[in-house]
Parts: sequence; structure tokens; C-alpha cells
Amino acid sequence: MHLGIEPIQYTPWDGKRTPIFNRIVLIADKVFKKNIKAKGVLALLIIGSILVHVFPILTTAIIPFEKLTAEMMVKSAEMAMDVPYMMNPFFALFSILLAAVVTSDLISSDLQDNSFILYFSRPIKPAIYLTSKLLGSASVLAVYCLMMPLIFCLVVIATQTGSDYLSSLKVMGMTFVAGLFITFFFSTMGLMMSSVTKRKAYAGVGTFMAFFAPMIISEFFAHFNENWKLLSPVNILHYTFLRIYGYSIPGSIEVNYYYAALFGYLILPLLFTYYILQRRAMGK
Amino acid sequence: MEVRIRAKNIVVRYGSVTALDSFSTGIPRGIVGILGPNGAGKTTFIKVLLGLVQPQSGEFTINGRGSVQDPRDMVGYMPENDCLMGSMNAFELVSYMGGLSGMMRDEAIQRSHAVLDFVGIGEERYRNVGTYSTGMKQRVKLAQAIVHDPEILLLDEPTNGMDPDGRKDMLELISDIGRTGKTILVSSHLLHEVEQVCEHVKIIDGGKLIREGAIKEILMPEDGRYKLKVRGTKEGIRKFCKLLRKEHGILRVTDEGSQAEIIVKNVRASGYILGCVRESGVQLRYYRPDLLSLEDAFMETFTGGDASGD
Repeated sequence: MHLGIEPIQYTPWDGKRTPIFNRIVLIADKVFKKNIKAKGVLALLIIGSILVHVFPILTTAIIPFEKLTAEMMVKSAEMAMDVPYMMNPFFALFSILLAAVVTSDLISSDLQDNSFILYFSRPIKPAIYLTSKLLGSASVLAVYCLMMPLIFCLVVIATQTGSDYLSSLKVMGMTFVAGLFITFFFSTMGLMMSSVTKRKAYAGVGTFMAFFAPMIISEFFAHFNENWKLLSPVNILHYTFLRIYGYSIPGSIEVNYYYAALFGYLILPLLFTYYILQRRAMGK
Repeated sequence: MEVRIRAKNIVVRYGSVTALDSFSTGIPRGIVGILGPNGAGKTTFIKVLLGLVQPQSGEFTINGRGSVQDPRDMVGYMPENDCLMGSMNAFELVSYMGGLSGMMRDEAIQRSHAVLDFVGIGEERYRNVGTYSTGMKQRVKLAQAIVHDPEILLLDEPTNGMDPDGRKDMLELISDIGRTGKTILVSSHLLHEVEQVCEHVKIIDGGKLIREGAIKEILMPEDGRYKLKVRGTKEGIRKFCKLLRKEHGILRVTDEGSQAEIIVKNVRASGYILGCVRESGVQLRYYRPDLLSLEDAFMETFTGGDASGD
């Protein structure tokens, strides 16, 4: 007896399907929104920003520079701090911590819930899934690693005493590239760690240790051979910054080893994650 | 018969085990049951269609589109195992899945509410899926499979873990969707459920298709078996049975006093039986094909035995 109320029937939908790009954005957006609301991520963002970014921004606003230079970003310590802005060790440290927290459940939660099948039974291939998750985590890291340095550059340019704005804008462009680099540099290792365990905590600790342990080993062996410095992700980061800002890496470092280390930290984790995804989701 | 899914010579091997062995079939419009014992290759076939398993050889098309053109936008899949993101609520999950299937955000939101209403998830839709009962999870799994209104629906054990009321509801939902002209492939171990909702059946074993057809044909016994009930005197009924035996085999007579239920085989035309009725002076109460249950048909396919005890 329906008492005059019609039962709910299945109704068709005749809308147009969106291109695959929209779905990449959807996954990345979900990762971003979830993380940006998380207390742990917010705390790291705030503490990290205060320690690394806010102080130079404030001092710059009070004591203006003539113009924004590559030197002040990576070479000299001019801003009431004893390290150049991009070389601040806290910058790398908080980036690593953020990457560990943000990426820890990116893939591990899908492994735990077995929700891979919901993605891959749709036109989402492992490469698209991986790209989306990478963009999602990078978008959170970009708040700290890209947006804050750009704000710093803007403040320097806005308060600069000289008139060479073009040169300052060029350095700001380099900062954009450097910020993008650090954003992705730390995300890829986190994704890899997240793809090998179902436990978020293991993935987070694994990511931190994957960066921290080589730093210790590098410090020890660098006394024997300078190339051991390339084992440290922070050193690779700093050498890459030097190159982005137009400087060369120290002569004691073999360039080919540098490229190999870059490949090892940036590309290899992605390839490994892709392989894991193929195996787990596609039965290969 | 319009074929919506066509598979040709599909071979899938896991190491030394052959899951699908030159498997070929055509799935028509309507609700189609795919049956077989454990390890027969049912789930593997579904995974091949979804691109989750790459066959070693063979090809398939879904609505005329091959794997190269990626037909998965027009496919909805309800997996057998747990797969829902426990940290999301049902509404978020279904609308997210709608988005992943190519719906615009607003449309996905609107449609999610509609399909959650349809599957019977009310206000609970705002509760985390991780807190749901198995039956509710099954409903959400169905909702995420139909949110984008796919033309092809692949349901792997849709009533798994549900109580009898829930099962009945789920079967009704599947029938409702089937009435919209979609192709629904249902893989299930529960044969009486398949019998209730499916129009066609595919029986597979050892990765091969061993029997297929419309469910009416499958349930029709091959030996022309009919069930009839006659009423009359004991003498009349005895005479009727004697006359019947001259032309047909009698499988069973159930004596109910002044009437008897008789199962006869090898019936090709009704004329002789009606002649026997006239001659013996009994009344014919009913006369109809003695359909097998799907379980009988299934057992008959695998063992060659007769489930009716012949």
C-alpha cells in the first residue's frame, strides 16, 4: 500500500560527460581540501611559515632592499638571518614534515579501503590516478613552498628602493620555478611510501626517514668524498636552487652524480609508485 | 537479439591456472545472470570488461566500443568485496564517484541524492560509510555504480551479506533498473535470486561457457516434461494413467484421493493427452510445463543428473 505516495523510481541522466582533465582536478581538489582542513597540516603550515617565511617578510617590509636579487635568495645572508632565504634549513625541514603528513594517506587509505577498484573501474588509469594524487599533495605543499616565497618576493619588489623592477621580476620567476621544484621534490617520495603500506603512520614515518636517514649518512661520508653530499635531499635541493638562480653547483660535486641523485629522488619514486599501482590495481 | 557486450576468444591465465579459456559470448539487453562454481571465471570476465585484468588474447566490445576506446564511462560496477572509503559519508562518496565518472559537480550532487533515495539510504547518507551495516554498504555500492546512469551495469554478488528483507529490496532495485532497458550482468551464487530477476543466463565453468540462453528456455526441461492434475474416480484416474503410459513416460503420480498430480515426459503435442482425458472420463484441472528451478538446471548442466529424482 503506497498511501498515495509513488515509490521512488530509477531516473535516467542525460548530461554530458566531462573530459578526463576535470577528473584529475576533482581528485587533486579532494586531496587539497581534506588536507588543508586537517589540524596537523594547519599546525605545520603555521609554525613553518612563522619560522621560515614571516620573519624575513616582516624585516623586508621594515628595511627595504634596492631590488630582489638571486644572491639574497640563495647566496648571501642579508635579512637579519644567518642564511639566505631559500637555503634556510628550516625551510627544507618543514617541507619534509609537511610532505610526510600530507602524503601519508594519499594511497595507503585507498589500499586499506580497497577503494582502488572504484577508481580503476572508471576511466581513471593508474597514470591519471598518480598524477591527480601528486597534484593534490603538491597543491598543499605549494602553500608553504611556493606561495610563501612568492609573497616574500612580492613584498621585496613592492618595497624596493631601486627602479630595476624587471630584474626583480626575473628573480621572482626563478623563485616560482624553485618553489615548484621543492613542492614536487618532496611529494614524490611521500607518494611512494604511501603506496607500499596500508598504514598512514608507517607511510608518514617512512617518508620522513627516507629523507632524514640519507642526510645523516651523507654527513658522515662527505668527509671522505664530497659526492656523498648528494645522498642528502637537502643538499640536492640547495644545488638545484643554485642552478635555478643561475649559479653553478660546487666544483667538488660530480655533475653526473648530481643528475643521478635528482633522478633517484624525483623520478624513481614516481616510477616505483606507478609500478605498484599497476600491480595492485591492474593485476599485472 | 541486440548484443551489448561481445567477447571473443578471451584467454586469461594466472600463472599455470587458466581463468578464461577462449571465452566467447554475447550479452544481450536486459538482466543477465552469470553463474558458475567458485573459480569458474565469472569475476575474471567482469574484470576483463572493466580493464582491471588484461587478457593474454582475445577481444571484447561494449556497445560497439573496444578496450582501446575505453568504454568504462558507460559501465557501472558494483564490486563484491568491501571497497567504500570509510572516512567519507555516503553522499560525499556517491557524488565524488559521479564526478569521477564524468559528471559536473552540481549534477553529481543532485544525482547523488536521487540515487541514494532510490536505493533507500535516507538521512544516514550524512554518516560516515565506515559506520554502516553490510546491507547499507551494499546499497551505497549500488548507488555509486548507477550514479552516472551507465548503460551497462556489472553487479558482482549484489546481495552479499544482506538479510532476507535487504535481499528482496536489492532484487527489486535491480529489476527496476532493468526495466529502463539497460544491460545488467549479475554474477551470483544464489541461484534462486538470479532466477527471480534475470531474463538470460550464462553458465560458465573452467573458464568456458557451457550453457546459455533465455531463462525460460533454460528452465524448460529438455525431455518435454509436463505437470497435470486430474480429478475423477480411482478407476478413472487409473485408466487415465494406463492410457498415458502408452505414449508418454510417467515420472511421478501423487495420489490425492479423488485427484492426482501427474508428471509426464516426452510430451510433444497436447492432442493425445486430451484424448486420454476424454476416454477415461476424468476432469483436467491444469496442464502446464513442469519447469525446473534454476538450481535443477544448474545441477543438470554440471552433473547431467536430474534434480527431480527421475
